[in-house]
Amino acid sequence: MTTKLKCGTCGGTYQPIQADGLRYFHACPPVYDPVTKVSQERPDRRDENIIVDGASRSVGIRAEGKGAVAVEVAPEL
Amino acid sequence: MSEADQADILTPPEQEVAPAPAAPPEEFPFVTLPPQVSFATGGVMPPSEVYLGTNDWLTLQAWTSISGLELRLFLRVLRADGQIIQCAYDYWPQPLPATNAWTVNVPEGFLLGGFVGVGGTCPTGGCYIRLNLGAGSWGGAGPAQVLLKGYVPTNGPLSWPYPRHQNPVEGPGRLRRIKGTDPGPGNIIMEYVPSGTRWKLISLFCTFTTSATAGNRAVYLYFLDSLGLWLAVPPGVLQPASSVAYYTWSIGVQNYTPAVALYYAMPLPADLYLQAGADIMVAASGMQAGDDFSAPQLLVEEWVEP
Repeated sequence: MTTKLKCGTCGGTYQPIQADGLRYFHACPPVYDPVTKVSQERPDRRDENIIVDGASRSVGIRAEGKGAVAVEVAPEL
Repeated sequence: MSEADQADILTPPEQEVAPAPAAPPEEFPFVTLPPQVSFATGGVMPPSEVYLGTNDWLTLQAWTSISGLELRLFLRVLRADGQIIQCAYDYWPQPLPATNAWTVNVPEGFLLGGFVGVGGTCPTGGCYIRLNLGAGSWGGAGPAQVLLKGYVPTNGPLSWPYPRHQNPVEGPGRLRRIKGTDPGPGNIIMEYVPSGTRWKLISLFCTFTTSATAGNRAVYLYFLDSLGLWLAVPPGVLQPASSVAYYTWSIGVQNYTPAVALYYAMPLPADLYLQAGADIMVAASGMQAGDDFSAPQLLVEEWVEP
């Protein structure tokens, strides 16, 4: 089972399944300018929040971005 | 009460074979019990305030943050021929943000009682349900009465009659520990309240490692939504270059200068409720490309919010 993913857009790493067994929905942070304190949305931003159709069925994530790759996998028991 | 009425009540029923029940609708598993007693049917109070007509139906709606949860709906119906029908249904709702709804065509009779429970573990705040009674033609008119609504606890189902109606964000929610995204060097922390949920942020912890590039950094906690920035928690201290500092924002603490160097604590508003899509941002003015935040550790109280 994948225990940690790395976002292909922002490079952030995260646990898709949290310790309590629930899903974590990664979304890329904006690019932040510490001088002007202005943040700007990242191109190809990844957002794993679920979108639903008219019948409230899950049809995918909001934005795929550049995908995510597994960087840590739990050993098989 | 006349002698004739008393006789109606007290006289055991004749030992005759009960008529075969009508063929049940599909997807309506039930068992029947032959009546052991008979009742007066004229001039008496009905056994239940809810009578299910031939065109009535029940709809069970569910919102949950838990995958693989089993929901159980159980009903008892007294038919006009005196037979009690017990109906049991199992459902497996999809997790948020899906809205789950199942419609059950019910037999004609008095609804004596029912409940909605769960199979497995379902912490408070994990699954909110609503059981509606619809009147009219199948699929036509909308719900006419809400029989049940509330969070379904593991250790006791929601029952009808005499339920306590509860709104989805009422009462205590589910406590969750969440480890957010480790943003990598040069990036800020940004966490989002997921779709279909409401959070109360209790505390947030992270570390901030500064590079050797000269200059002080000031670490802020920001809250934003679609209208922009609406709350900023400034730091009480500045962090120098080439250092690692430990930041905690929490309800119940004051902004203070720590006795232990580089352990900083900042306050949060006591009732900081955040709706789906709200942003929690940690950023530093004076931040350099080599500065690095850790993954944030959040303690939140979470509700399902359809």
